[in-house]
Amino acid sequence: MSQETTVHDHDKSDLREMYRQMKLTREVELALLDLVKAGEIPGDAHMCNGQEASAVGTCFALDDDDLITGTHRSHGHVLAMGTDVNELLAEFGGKKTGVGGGRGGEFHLYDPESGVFETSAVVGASVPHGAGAALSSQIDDDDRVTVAFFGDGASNEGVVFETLNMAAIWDLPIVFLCENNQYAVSTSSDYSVPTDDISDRAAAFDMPGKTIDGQDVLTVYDEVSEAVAAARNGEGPQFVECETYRYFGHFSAEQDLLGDRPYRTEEEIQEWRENRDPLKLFKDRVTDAGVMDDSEFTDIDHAVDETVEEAVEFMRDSEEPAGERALETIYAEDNVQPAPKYR
Amino acid sequence: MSEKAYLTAVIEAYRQSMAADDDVILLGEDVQKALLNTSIGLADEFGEDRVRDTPIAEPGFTGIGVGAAMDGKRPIVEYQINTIPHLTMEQLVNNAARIHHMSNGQYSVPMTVTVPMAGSPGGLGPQHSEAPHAGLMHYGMKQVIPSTPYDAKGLLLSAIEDDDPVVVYFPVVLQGDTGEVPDETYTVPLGEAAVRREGDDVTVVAVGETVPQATAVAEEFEGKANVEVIDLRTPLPLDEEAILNSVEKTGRVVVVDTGNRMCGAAAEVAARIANKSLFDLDAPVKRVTRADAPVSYSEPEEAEVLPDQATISQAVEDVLSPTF
Repeated sequence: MSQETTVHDHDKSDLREMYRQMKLTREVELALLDLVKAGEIPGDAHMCNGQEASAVGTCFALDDDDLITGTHRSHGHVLAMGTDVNELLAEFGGKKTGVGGGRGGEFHLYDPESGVFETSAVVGASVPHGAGAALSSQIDDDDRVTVAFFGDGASNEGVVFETLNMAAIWDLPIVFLCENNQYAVSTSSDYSVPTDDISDRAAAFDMPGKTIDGQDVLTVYDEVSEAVAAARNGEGPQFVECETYRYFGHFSAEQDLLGDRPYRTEEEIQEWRENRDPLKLFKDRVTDAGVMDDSEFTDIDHAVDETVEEAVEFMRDSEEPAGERALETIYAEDNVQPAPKYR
Repeated sequence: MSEKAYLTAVIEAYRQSMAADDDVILLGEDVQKALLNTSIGLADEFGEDRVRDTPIAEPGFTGIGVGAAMDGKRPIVEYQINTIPHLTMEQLVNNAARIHHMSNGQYSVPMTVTVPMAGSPGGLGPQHSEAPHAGLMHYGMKQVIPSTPYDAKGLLLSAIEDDDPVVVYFPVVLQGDTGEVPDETYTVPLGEAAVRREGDDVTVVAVGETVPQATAVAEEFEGKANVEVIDLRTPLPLDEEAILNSVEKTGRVVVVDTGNRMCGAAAEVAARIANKSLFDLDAPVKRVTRADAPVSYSEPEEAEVLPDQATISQAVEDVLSPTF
């Protein structure tokens, strides 16, 4: 375990910012869900409500030049890295003003200016890309660290094992950040992973690994800071598993598909919501320490609500691209002329 | 300028690209010892950081190549054998060939995948004799199959300079061929077919190791018919104009490909001719491809399946005397 910090070890402005980012993630996703339900946007919602602390605590531990790769459940990751909330909402809406011009949608996000190298909809697929960035860092000796987020489901993908192995034999400056939210859709990690912890697998690659409470943003910050420092210091790849939980289904249409075949109980969800909610835990810890009071949190809540409302309006006011744009920006070079659907 | 083997031209392109640009790195199995000879001496010259042996983990090291390319490197990712793309389709298609689009142009993937044991080397049986280019064309990935030593160097250097992911195949049966190859660097642009032999009676469109077969057929027909041989060079970008211009002149066409018939590269070429040049045609378009059958270890069965000079010759005969 790393040296644990207390609330008092952090600047109040940092504490406020951690809370703001977690709250922003939560509210952005709730707004997304409303938009999906209203049929106002093209796609679905893969929500990380319940997992905000692992995203915010991890990204807080990074330097400006560091990179992350994410997953299909990365709204928290990109907001914590600083992706513009208006552009994120516009991307959800498939609008021209979106962070990817409306091409990627909620789970193919690229925002190089914020250090968001990629989020990928294919389980495990972005993990080697993070290692590729880390390889590039190693060759350039540029002191940058990449964090590759992935889930318990992806931890069973072959390409992830291959990447862990190559990162280890090459001592790449990367942190593998496994968010174990307990379920790959309906398949529990208790079932799909034979070891007690997913981080136990790190030992097979001679890689330091640890499992931490992913609901406590300060714990995540402390533990990931230590891992990032080790990776930056030339100690090779690090593996951190955050125990966490997603409150909503794998995606917004899950309930329609599953019908009356639940894979977890309402009681279990309520247990996490009531006793291990990252926002509640943080608030309690910070107010107990006497650093912030309720009204300060309420002020942040209001500001976040306003930000999200504005972002939804920005999305609504933004234009969709013309369909003809579909044949543009497919190739970086102009030596291929993509064919239209009829000629 | 000097006479060099095809493989020597490939070796030169690897070396010169690494010498010219520090961002060019090489990832692959056994590249430090240069099992396939392509990377001879590179680990010594450029260091093991840039010439990196990978474990046998093709999807993983392809993905690492993708990430490094997104970050500004120009990786050459070497696949030992022609069926590796089957393993790595997810990284090639769903990632390398999609990221420029998905990121709305914010990232590019200037990665070159090389396949030195390409084509059907002979006697390798069903799992090491594929020609996977059409499958990747289907998903929009640039595909390059040089048929001459000159092109092997010039097309590979173009692929490495190209800002998109490109797969370059070096058919085994061509690697001993020799030809004039300049010592200095030069590029052959992607998307430009080559007229290997001019003629105005029949067009044979060929690619890779079928180009010398088509040229031999053209020689066979000397005095009887003038056969024009078009070397596709890069099945994608496909030089449609060169094909249609030739068909306009000849009115008779045989399309030859090393891959399977079903949904193959030859099918795409034939469809374009049918769509745009129907009234130029004096005979049905004929295709000579690999049969829609796996390649056996058995020599007679292998020969039965793969395209060859005799079958191309038959096809030229057939378009000269068409039966409708």
